[in-house]
Amino acid sequence: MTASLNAVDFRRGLVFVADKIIESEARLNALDAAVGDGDHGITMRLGFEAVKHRLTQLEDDATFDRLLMEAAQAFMSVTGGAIGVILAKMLMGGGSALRGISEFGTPELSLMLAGMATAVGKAGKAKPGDKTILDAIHAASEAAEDAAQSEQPLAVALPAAATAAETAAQRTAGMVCRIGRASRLGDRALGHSDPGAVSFSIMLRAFEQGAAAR
Amino acid sequence: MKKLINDPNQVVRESIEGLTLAYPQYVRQVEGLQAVVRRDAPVRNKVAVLTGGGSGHEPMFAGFVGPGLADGSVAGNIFTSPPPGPIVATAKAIQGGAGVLFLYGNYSGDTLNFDMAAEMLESDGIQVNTVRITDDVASAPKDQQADRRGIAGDFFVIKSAGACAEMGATLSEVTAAAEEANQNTRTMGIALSSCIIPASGRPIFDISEQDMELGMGLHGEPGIQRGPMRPADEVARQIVEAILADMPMDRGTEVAVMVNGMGATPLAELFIIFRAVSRLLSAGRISIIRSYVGNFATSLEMAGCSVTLMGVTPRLKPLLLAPAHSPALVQV
Repeated sequence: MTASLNAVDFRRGLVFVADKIIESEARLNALDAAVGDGDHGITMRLGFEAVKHRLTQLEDDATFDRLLMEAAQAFMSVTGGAIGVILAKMLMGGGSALRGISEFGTPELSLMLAGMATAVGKAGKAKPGDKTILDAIHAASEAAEDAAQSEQPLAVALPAAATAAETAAQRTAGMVCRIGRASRLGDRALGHSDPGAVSFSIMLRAFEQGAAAR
Repeated sequence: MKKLINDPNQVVRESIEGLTLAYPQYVRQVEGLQAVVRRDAPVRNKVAVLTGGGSGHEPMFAGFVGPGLADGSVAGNIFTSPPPGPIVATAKAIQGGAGVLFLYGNYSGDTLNFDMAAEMLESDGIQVNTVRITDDVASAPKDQQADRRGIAGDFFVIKSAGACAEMGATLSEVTAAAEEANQNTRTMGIALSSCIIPASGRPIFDISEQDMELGMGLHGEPGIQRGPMRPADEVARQIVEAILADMPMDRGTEVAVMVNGMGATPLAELFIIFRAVSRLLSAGRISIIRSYVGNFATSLEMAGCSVTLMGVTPRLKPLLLAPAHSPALVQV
């Protein structure tokens, strides 16, 4: 990976995210069956099929923020459910943070993830520790912020953020849901990772791999 | 899994097409959307009542679209709220210039999507009020009533608001009627078996042949007690006692009752439950002025039922008794 990504790399990363999420349908359904109604993978697949389709239709020089805003609209137009709005707001939050930016390096990664965490916290009224997708976004955002402060290159910062998201997603298994439909499970959700958090960790890892695969 | 379907991903769309083909005298489909509106929508100068939510609860919600009930209903995929886009489009298809009232069960997905749709409509100059229905006694304690889910009691709220709107009331009056109906409506359900989601082909929870679960939600949300199967009269007593403990009623109170099947329980069993409910209420000198027994708010092919009581206030009484014409209910 070079020091920073351009919009073409960025789009390739997003398309790879879509491919990986579509591939992960069965795994995400199984995770959701433990704490919900077992359709998280279906919803994510439908949403990212639409995202992929939309991304391939955009003009070649579409900017970072436009790519994320269009992805958000595409996702929300077909999904519904809490995840439809929350994921769309996450992508929009990331998009807003990248407005006017032409090179994506570690500081921009940090900005994007912070924008995503803020947007999701506001939309879902969740806090870190509530066993939601926010746990993974928040952890990735903190890792990226640390990397930005210590001036790490993107080739270090992006994998570190993805690893932080994966660790945080795994850690949700030890938490009790405090928000959303699964909060009614109480202790019965213990031992099961939050499907949204796992989805986000898959997304960020796929983004890293896709964007690097020049 | 045996299901009479063509493609698991087309269940909602094909089912809505079938509903509108079957009942063209009441409803039509909004072109290109999983949405149903009353045949003569928009009705000029009338408050438009919009309901909706995840599919899998048929005939809720689309079955209650028609004169005297909702003006429109937007369906999401199975157990998933619809996105904001179709909600906005359907609201525009039914609004007659007097505002729109959103009525839906209180779930986080529905709230997020309907709230976003409301913002979009407001920015287009269409006034929107919202009442989230919270009748499920088992879903949260009494001091957290605003966190409760909406289940079969949705019907009484839609009925009250729909009748009020039909009589020419303003948006604030229709909203107040819906709130009053919601405040006076309580439901508790019981599940005997799980449903199977068409796209995953799997049951959403496990329950043994010997057990029942009191208070289980319409999407398999855990209830308040799982235990051995009991005779119908005892089940009815447990449910009615739980509802009356939550919403005490004086002797002489008038109520509307709904005994609702979850999808796989025969009507014969629902009438046995109704018989018991009726006896319990009359022993408490509570009089039933209207009753509904059947499959109204289902959970695909889940076995079980729910019992809903609505305390009928002077304002609600004419609304409850008003005529209604829809695919799932005709009341004259």
